[in-house]
Amino acid sequence: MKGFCTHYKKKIKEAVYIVIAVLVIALFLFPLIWSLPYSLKDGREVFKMSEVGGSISWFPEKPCWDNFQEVFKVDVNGGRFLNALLSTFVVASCNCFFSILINMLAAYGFARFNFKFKNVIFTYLLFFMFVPGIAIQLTSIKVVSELNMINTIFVLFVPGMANSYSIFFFRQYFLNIPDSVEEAAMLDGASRLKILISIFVPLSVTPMIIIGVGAFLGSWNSYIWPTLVITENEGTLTQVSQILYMLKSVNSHDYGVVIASCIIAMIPPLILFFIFQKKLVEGIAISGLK
Amino acid sequence: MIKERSVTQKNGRKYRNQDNLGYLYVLPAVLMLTVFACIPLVMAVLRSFRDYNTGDWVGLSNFDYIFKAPVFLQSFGNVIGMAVVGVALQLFLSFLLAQLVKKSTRGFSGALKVIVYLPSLVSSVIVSIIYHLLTNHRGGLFANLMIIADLDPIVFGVDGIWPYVSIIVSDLWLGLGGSTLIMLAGMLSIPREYYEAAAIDGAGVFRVIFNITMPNLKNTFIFLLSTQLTGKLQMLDLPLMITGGGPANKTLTPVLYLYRLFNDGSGAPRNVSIAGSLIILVVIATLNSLAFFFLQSKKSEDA
Repeated sequence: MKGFCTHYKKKIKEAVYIVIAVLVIALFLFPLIWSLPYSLKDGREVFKMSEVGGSISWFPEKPCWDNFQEVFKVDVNGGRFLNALLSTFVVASCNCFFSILINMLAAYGFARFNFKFKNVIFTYLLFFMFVPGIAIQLTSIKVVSELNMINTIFVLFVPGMANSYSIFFFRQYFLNIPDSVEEAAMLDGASRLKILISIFVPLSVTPMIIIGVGAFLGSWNSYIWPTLVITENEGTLTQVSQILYMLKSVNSHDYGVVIASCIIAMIPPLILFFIFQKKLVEGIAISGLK
Repeated sequence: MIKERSVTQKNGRKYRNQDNLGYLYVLPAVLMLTVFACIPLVMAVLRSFRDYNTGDWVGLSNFDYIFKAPVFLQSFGNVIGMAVVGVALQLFLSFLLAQLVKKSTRGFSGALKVIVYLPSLVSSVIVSIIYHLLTNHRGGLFANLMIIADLDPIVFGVDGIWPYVSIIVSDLWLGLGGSTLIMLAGMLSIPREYYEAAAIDGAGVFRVIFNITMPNLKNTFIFLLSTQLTGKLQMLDLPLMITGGGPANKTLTPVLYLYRLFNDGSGAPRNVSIAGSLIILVVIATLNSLAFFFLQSKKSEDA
């Protein structure tokens, strides 16, 4: 009888957890799901006010697919949406690639070489982990303009490529790879670079995905830095977030188009997320274990 | 470190003096961080004592200006309030969520991890657009629900504490996924035997949480506390997009204020905002080390 009781209790407990889990999932998804049909609403329909005792119309009366075409026709200060998608994609991809490359090379140097002043240099780099962005951002504008980078595509990703945290993260990962793994390759006379490429890279897929996706998302979603350093060339170098921000301020009468542009802007991050979902979720977790 | 001097290659050559190659590997990162982080920081320190236009030495007058700007001090009060409440909620909720993920059955725990993390992909501009859709007092979802129930719609961007609530909730929605995953990893690294021993002793749920889970998550808590606090004290995007710092500068944060001051052009000298940014640097460094020391000493008392 007692066994039956505890079994019964366990089932109830499980059911309670399932109910809470479903509620949490619904809560987190709600803002995204709720917004979706609004992309097909006619301008006047988006902020339609309900009446006392009335109802809320979630779905559009007549789906207005034109919204998705309209997005590509809008022209905000010479910036066009398709153009912004392309240039942001190039910026984000470059940031992703070079962030992995530069930080991984540095981490390999710190993890597997024994040069003079190594710890001094490493501490120097780590120091910038604790410097808030605003303390360097304002004067960075001066630096990039001295380098003639203002209003070029490079200013959008070059300053942020090297990152103390990414170096630290890669290094931690490399330190956990046992020395014996590379000894055989060393005996065969493989160069250090070859060991990095053929042994370390395949073993470090998780941190590469974390840093790479992080860098891509950082560029894709960045708004403040582009507004500070792109003052001309707005037609070609305007970033997606800038277009969305301007659309939002200009187009409050036609919010369906704004939502449609948000949905299009979410596609690349979502694709990345679903490809690397498993590794991302597992890797973010490790980032807190030092 | 690998003992490469003792390794003899098959062709008889020895791995020697290759350690200096290390400089080459770290060079690009050192160069980039020097140009784009170290030099700007040094410039910021120098410029905070100078006039922006003439370059003349002006002593502490930039700092004097920023400390006398009532809005700057007010913005510090705002951000500290939002950061304290936001970080506390973030730690508490991510602890609960991580417990939920841990206790859920396989399928659900997998789905929870992915869904809770999903909002982290959304940019703050898009968050503000969704927020507008939900909370607009004329035709937003919440307003409509209130009208249907015959209540006065709340103006979320203006009324009472709602501007703060708006920013904190949006921030939680964006950030809970990451901290939950980190919390979960901390929980999973606690040896199972501890829990088994507690079960044998007949410890209740809360005793297990307070006496086993929490103490063993010390490092995770310190890590989350310091990263979250650092992040939230620099809040810029969300207040800018959601409330624009309003109403009446109630949700203005220091970084948003400085960013505006810098871009303003007309009003205050630009080096004033640079001086202000150094104050933020000092505050963040101090708070970070305080939080760290507090948790450390508290732990040693317990032990």
